[in-house]
Amino acid sequence: MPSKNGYTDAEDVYPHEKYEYEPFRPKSWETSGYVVFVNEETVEEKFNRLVERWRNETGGMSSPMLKISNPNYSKILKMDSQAVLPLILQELKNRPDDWFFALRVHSEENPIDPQSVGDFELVRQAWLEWGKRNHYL
Amino acid sequence: MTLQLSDLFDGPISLSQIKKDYPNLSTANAELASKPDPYYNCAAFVVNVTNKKWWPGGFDGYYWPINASNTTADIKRTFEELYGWKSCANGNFERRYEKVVIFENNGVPTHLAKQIRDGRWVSKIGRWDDIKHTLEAVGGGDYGQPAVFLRKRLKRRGIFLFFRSLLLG
Repeated sequence: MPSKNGYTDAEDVYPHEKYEYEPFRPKSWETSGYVVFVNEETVEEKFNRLVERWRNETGGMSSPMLKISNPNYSKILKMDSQAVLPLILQELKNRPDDWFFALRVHSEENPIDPQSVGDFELVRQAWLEWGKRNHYL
Repeated sequence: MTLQLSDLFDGPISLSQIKKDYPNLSTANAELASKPDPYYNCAAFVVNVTNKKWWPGGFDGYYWPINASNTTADIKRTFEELYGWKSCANGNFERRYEKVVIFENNGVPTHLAKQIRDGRWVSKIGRWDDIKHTLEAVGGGDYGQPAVFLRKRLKRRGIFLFFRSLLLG
């Protein structure tokens, strides 16, 4: 049952959340009297921001499972595939890192020779070649 | 020049992130041992491999010598079956043994380190450098705590060299 301020009873149990998520919300931006400048982030800017955060938060991690389950990596997985594939490949080319899972998810392909699965550099080269063949690089 | 905590890592990394990941790390209990290198990781480093990344579980780009899952038990089994390591009680320095420790956080393996001859440990920190450190220095944060210690008797190289010198004069 929504309360008078629009929150459900369940949400009222956590008053700190109410304050945190209760910013000034005018009914309509047009009638609010405010002019809003929205600085929209490009796909590249968003990707770079997530990559830097991911590198910072997972730099010391050794387990690939922990690296690819980081929230910033998850956000990269949800980005538009056609837009983000060239960016991932360029990143892989410049700074070798754990991008193979993201490449498989976005490309829905796996160009890796089964013999080279355990060799980081061979896998990296295979993806870079794949990127060139498909005009992403 | 005094070593700063951030000097232990290849940037960019914020000091707050270092403090969060390694709350016990300081320049008093750790020192730099190599340059950063993205082509190997801690599991490869403990078996003296510096051109591959090792981790069980079949992750792309990661090698593991046998079919194994991403668990501490399977890492331990691999070291026991393939390399002759045996479980031991703790990480105390024993003169005739080399030791390896597996860290675990919430039941998930996170890091491996090997002991060096001064009783400290050396390990590759993710994509950053190798550092020499105490066990406490890297525990308590992202890596969790030491869960398994393994040891292997050192080859008696001194005796071999002694007899060889006798034979060769």
